[in-house]
Amino acid sequence: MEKINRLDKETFLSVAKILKLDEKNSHLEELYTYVEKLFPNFKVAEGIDLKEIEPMLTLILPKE
Amino acid sequence: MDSKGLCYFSVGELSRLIRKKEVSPVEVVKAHLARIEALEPALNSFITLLPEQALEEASKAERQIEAGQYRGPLHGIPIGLKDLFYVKGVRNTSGSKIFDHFIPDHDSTIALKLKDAGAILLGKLNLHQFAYGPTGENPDYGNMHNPWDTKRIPGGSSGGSASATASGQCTLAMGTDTGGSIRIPSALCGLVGLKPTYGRLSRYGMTVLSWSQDHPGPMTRTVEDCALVMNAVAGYDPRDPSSSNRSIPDFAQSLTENIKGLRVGVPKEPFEDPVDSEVEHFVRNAIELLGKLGATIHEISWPLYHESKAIATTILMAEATAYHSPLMKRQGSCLDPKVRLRLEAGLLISAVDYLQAQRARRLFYQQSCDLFNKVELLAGPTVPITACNIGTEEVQIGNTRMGVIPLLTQHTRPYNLNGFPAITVPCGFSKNGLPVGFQLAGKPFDEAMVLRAAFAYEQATEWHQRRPLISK
Repeated sequence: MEKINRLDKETFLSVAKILKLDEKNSHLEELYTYVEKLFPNFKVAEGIDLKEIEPMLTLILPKE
Repeated sequence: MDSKGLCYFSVGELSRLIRKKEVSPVEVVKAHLARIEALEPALNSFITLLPEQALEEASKAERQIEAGQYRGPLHGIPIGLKDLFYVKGVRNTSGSKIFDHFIPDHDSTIALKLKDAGAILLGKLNLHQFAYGPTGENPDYGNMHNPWDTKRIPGGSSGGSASATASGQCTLAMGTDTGGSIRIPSALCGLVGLKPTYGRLSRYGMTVLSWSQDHPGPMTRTVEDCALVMNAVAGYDPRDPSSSNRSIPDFAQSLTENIKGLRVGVPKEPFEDPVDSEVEHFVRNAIELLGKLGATIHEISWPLYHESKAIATTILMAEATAYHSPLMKRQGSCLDPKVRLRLEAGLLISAVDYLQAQRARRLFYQQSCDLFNKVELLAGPTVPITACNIGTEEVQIGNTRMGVIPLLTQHTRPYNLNGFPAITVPCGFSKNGLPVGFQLAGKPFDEAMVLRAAFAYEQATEWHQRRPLISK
């Protein structure tokens, strides 16, 4: 699968619509600019060899 | 007793005077209330002040101490709590006017433990809204101001906790640290700030930002004070699912052990990030001094350090958005616009991205643990700059221009990701008279080691004795 490191505007607007985000254009424009800068951060883990590594999620079983 | 002097005594010094009945808690609280009144117009440290309650508690403390019921070093000591620690019957805003009238019906564990220790709550301290920012700017309750230069940020999100403690408005404060929010304002305001190991202090009764990265912790003017607070607040809490039941040492007892032979690792990666040259100078001097005090200094490499910040950000943003999602839907327009942007951006993080980040987190945690096979401590900068002006969006360091948020958090986030204990200690003042901090970190649950090294450094220097001249 192709590595996605960029969030294009069309995809962003489709997702924003599904999420029912504020549709006022200026706000979405600001959000897109902000998210576009951040987006590569969300994908950083894709560049790391995580073979055999499980997520660090905690299952808390009741203590006695 | 000089009232300004009372406001700058450490817990250690004040408690000795209170215990010997040379000063009464009422006198101490009155002095602090006067100082708050004098400085609040300039600093805006507090959201809610509790003068009547504080004086009542001080009278009660006085009677208890007279009757021989001394509870310990925090008995009669005036404190502040970041306004996201629930205190029963006292409004808890989390820095947002949406919660201007919210009054919790129960105490946070931190508030309860401090109350049991006899500490006296002066008020709830201002913060970056929902703890979601590292500058200490707040459009709802007003920006906080750095006591060393009131045109500048105190840092955040525990900005009020820092400005109040650094200016003598309270003897100590509690903050929370999710991406650096204790250590950043502590460094920028010349304080000691400890982010304990994740799970060492209870998160019960705190407004959440990121379940897996929130850490409550003390902000004090001395390392000894930090240790004394830890003795009062650390410990297992069944109401916090992440709470550790590891045994708790006496954090103050081992402070004075020397650090001869301690191996201090200095990862090279933090210095590959942009760091102001004055800050680097003071941090490297601090590390050198640890060497002169008997520690051995080792340059090391920290795998995944540079990636850790993005990994931490991904997890934080997803968790913050998940927690605040109902609020965003109902009252998004009432949020600080910058906080709203961050919360909405979190919606764009997929479940797969979050899980991949948590896998990378486990690998980073394992590799961080491996570092401690070779050293007992890690040392480096806390914040790469001194405090910038309020309203600054970007900062130039050398040839690099960076946003203030990633810059302020670049050295602190890795320890939120791995949960290891990390402390900031004052290590110098810039040409502009602004504090610089350096960071020491230890392996999980080894706060005693971290405090010991910090104490050794502090006692060999005088930075912690300086006081701000506060312009009104």
